[in-house]
Amino acid sequence: MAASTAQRLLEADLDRTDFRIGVAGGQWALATPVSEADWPIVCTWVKAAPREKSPERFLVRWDVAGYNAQPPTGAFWDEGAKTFLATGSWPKGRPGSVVEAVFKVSGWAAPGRGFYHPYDRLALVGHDWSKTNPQYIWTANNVLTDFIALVYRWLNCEAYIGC
Amino acid sequence: MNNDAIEFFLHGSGKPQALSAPEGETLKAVLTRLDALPRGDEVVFIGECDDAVHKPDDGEDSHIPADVEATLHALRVRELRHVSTRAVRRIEVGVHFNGKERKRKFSPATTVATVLAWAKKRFEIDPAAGADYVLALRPAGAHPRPEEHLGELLEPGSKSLEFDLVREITPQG
Repeated sequence: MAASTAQRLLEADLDRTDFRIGVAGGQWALATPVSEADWPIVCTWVKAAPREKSPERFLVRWDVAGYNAQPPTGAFWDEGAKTFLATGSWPKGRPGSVVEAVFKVSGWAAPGRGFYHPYDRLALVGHDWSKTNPQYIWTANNVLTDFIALVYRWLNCEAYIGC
Repeated sequence: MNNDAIEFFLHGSGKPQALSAPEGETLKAVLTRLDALPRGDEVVFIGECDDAVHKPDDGEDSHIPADVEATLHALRVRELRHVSTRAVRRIEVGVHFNGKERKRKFSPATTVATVLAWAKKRFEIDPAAGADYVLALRPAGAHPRPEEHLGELLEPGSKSLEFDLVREITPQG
C-alpha cells in the first residue's frame, strides 16, 4: 500500500535539517524508521540529563494520525513491555514547575498516555489554551520536531529531577 | 588527509540545510556550488559560539570569521558541523527582564540556548529557580527553539534582536 499523505509529510519533516541537527547532536533519534505497517505510530528516543537512578534517554511513542493538520499526542513507552511506561517510572519535575505539569500522571483525561501540554491532542480536550498558552497552539505550520524539542528541553532543564 | 565526503549543516542561506562535501574541498568551492558565497560585508562562521556562557561579562563574542579559501579539513568542519554563511559579524542582542536590560554583541552562530544561559547569569537567576524561563522574541513573542541560531532569527538587513526573558506558562485547567 502506498504511504498516506500524512506519512509522506511526516517523513519529509523528519528529513528536515532541524530534526537532523538534533540527531547529530545526540539529542533525539528515530527509534525505528517510519513505516506504513506501524502508522500512525512513530517512536523516538529523547536524551535526558543525568539524574540518579534514571535512564539516559526515554522512548517516546507518538500517535501522529492526521499529521500535521491534527496535533500529535505523545507519551513515554516501555519498549520491553510494549505498553505505556508505568506511571511510577515517568520523569518527574520540581514541584510547581512546567516539567511537573507536562509529565503529570494523574488528574487529567489521559494520565500516562499523553503529555499535559497544548501541543498534545489528548490534553487539548476540554481546554481552551489559546489565550493562556498562545505560543503552543498547534497549527499546520508546526512539525513533530517542535514537540520533540520541547520534550528534550523538559528532560534537560534543572527542573527535571529524575524518575 | 581523508578526502571522504563529510556531512555538515549550512545556515544563513534560506532554511538550514544538511549537506555533504569532500573534506579536501575549499569552503569557497562548496559555497560557490551552492550559490551561497558571502556578499559585500557578509562573512562565514564555522561551528557554534558559546563564548557568552564562559565569559558572560564580556561585551562581545570573540568568534572569528572563517577564511573561505581554506579547506573543510583545515576549518575542522567535520567536528564543528555548522557553517553559517552570508552572516553579519555580530548581532546586538538585548534581553529584557523585570524592567532591566542586558546587552551583548553575539556571533550569529550562537544558539538561543546559549543566549538564555547568558541572560540567566547576567540577571543572576538561580539555575534551579530559572528552569522555567525561556526567551520570547520581540515583537511577536514567539519562543524560538533552543538550538536555533541567532542569525536565523534576523530580519533581512537587521543586525539586532530583542528578547524578553519570560517564564514558560504552566498548562493548567
